[in-house]
Amino acid sequence: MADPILRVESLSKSFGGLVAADQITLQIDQGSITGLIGPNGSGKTTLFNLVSGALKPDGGRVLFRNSDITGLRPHQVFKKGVYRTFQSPQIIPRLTLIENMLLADRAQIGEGLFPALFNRRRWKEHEEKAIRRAYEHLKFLDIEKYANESPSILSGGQLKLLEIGRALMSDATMLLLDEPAAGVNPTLAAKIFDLLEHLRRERGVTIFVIEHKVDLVFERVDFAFVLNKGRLFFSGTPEEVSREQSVIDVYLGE
Amino acid sequence: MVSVEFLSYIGATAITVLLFAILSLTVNLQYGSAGIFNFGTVAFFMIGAYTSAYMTLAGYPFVVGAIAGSAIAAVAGYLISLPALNLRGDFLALATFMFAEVINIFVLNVPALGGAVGIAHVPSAFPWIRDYGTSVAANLILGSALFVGFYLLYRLIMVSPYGRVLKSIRENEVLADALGKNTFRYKSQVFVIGSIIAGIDGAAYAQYIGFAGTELFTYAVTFTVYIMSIIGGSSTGVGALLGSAIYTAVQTGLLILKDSVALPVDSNNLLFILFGLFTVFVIYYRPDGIIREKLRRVKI
Amino acid sequence: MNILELLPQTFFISIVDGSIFALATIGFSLTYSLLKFPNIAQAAFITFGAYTAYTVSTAWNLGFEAGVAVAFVATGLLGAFSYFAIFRPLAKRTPGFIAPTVTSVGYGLALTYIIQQVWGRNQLYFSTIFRSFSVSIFFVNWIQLGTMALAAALVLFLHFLLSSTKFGAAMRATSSNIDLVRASGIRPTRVILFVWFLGSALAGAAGVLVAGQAGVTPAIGSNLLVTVIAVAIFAGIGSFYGVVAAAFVLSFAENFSIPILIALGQPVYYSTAVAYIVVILAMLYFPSGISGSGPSIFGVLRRPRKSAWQQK
Repeated sequence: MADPILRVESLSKSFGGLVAADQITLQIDQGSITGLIGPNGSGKTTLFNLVSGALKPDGGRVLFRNSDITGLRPHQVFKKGVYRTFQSPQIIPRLTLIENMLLADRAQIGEGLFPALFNRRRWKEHEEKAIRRAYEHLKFLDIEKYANESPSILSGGQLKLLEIGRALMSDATMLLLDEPAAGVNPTLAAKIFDLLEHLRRERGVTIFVIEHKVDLVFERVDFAFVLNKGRLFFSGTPEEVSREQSVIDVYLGE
Repeated sequence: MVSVEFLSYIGATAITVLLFAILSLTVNLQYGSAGIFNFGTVAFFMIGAYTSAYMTLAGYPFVVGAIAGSAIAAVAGYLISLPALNLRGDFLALATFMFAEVINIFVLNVPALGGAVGIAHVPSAFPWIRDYGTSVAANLILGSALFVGFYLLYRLIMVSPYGRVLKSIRENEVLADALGKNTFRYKSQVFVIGSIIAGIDGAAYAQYIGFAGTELFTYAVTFTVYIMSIIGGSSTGVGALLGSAIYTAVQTGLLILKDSVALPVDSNNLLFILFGLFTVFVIYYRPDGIIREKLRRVKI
Repeated sequence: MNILELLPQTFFISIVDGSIFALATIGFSLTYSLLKFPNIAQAAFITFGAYTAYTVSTAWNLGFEAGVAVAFVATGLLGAFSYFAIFRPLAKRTPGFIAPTVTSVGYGLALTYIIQQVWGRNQLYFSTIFRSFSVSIFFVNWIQLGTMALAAALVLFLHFLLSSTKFGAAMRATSSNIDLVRASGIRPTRVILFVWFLGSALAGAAGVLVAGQAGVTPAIGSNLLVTVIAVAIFAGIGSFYGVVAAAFVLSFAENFSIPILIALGQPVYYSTAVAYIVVILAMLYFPSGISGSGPSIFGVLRRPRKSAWQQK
């Protein structure tokens, strides 16, 4: 069977008296689409923050492709091939859509000071290719007509597509998506999950998705982890999760 | 026709515009592009000036003095950036402001470094030129060369992917971090580059004025270049030059006015009163400056 | 020379200087915390206070006390005007702190030169003669005693205002949560306007007291400005009690470093730098200041270890 691409072992984090993550242990298989669900405040985004390096854990380990990435900073984690999004879509408003995409390109050496100054030819070549690639991705997502505009004119749904575009651009092997379909109409939500399915199928990308709406997750993921109050308290296939009374209780209680 | 004196006067004004445009360029690089609020610009300007003054007085050529000045400014910039860049925006501004003040007061109080008297008779970069008019022309060429050189460096940085990363750090540092950019390292590099440029500029300034004294390097200089940057536009190199030109033009214009028009008020006072109000109005009505930042559109 | 002989006088001077620093800085710190920018024009307010007092007490011959009182009110009005005419409209138009900061530089410059235009550049002196006399081991001057007394009175008044009145509570609330203040029916603009009035009035008073010792010149305010900034940072922006404490700590640090430097055989001119170095170190390692109430409105004070993202 596929080796787990992500292993989280006993991950913990507290803020003062508040326990945000309580000894969370889980594994994710390569090429899977896995859901992370739970009521508000259950620690889903905290877990993403801990895995991606935005937060330093108090205890436990994170292993990505068998290498220990615990405590690495977000920019280091990104370079290893992990792409994460935030609950509210983040943009660079005073750069064009294409430039926003180009930022996600892991291989642009022109981002270093000395190559930028002394190796102009190489980064220019790479840039031209990267622009074409970015444009193709934008076309695939149907937002190419805004390529030279600021992302601040895009709608919320289009911004969610941009985030997927950046994931494509980054050539990441694992995506941590925080509510990728939140606040969009059901058609677009379905399209987004179709895109994710496409990514998994065509590129073998592993996808870990936080979703607050359980019904969305139910049909589109292989497996789901349920958090409550920072603890991982149930996991299983969507059928198992939907039938589990304790899960229902936890959601009803919110 | 025009006299040599008049041309020299224009030349001297132009030199001032260029030397301050270079400082303004560092503001555009650090603040305009990367969002770093460095309010200690004058410190690096001063370090470059004093270092070069000592070196040239000790007999070294100007080029050596300028390199030494920029090296020490770079080291100072690096050292102060390490703790300071961890601070929030306005605190960074205050910390760098205080740093510049400490340097100024330190030099002011240490006679061995020049003290209150300063360093006189700083050798010119062109010691073979005796004639005033020619030396103005030479300094004009030096100033222009330096500005053009630094401008090209600035442009090269900004059109490259590195420049794109700087802008992303300015706009959304958390996102830049999440997209693989070591934001601290970028900010530190930009800080040091700005210090180097200011240091070389300081060396050029000291040899042009022929003097280095603490009264030339107060926080007023930093504020002046920020005002220039705001007026001209903080996102382009041309904006830096434009801001410096406008500022100097207004200042010169008022000086000329004082000599030609009989006013009920002391024109020296009027100069600053009008200038202060001018700043207030410009920031209120056109906070982005004259040359605004534009999106970079690419051909697909 | 016996260093120990210097110490009591140094102590006395530290208290006097500390009083002035506190008066000059309280307004700066409060306006910083309310409008989120350092008001560089505070220097001009300090100078304005000194000159107003001079006019009332010496030019119009109404006595020093009248001068202080009028300077207090007049500078307060100048501050309130400045908020209303300049900083409030600016805040509505342009976000961020660079714009108001640079504006305050230009505004302060204009004010200072207007003062210089009206009163001239020469040093002026109050007509009141403050006698010096000895009190056991101290060598004091009436102006110094007056400074301490006035500062104490004003600080006590502010303490009472902040802790026991409804308005004081509104002042404290406005700097941390402006929406809460609005919701409870108080208009933030009024609170902020009053803070500007009061803070500037105190600065004007500080200007008079400095001038009482050293004479009235246009440079009084700008000479004090860097100290004001240093005290405000060290105190933790927005904390009134922090400012009082910080003012005295820095005053003592600067004044006592002189005998210490002498005792160590070091040049005395390092003393000013000592205070500033204390402040820089404090900034880098204690960004919230000694009161711990440093600015927190932007969220993250230090990077990169802390995350700007809250847990869910």
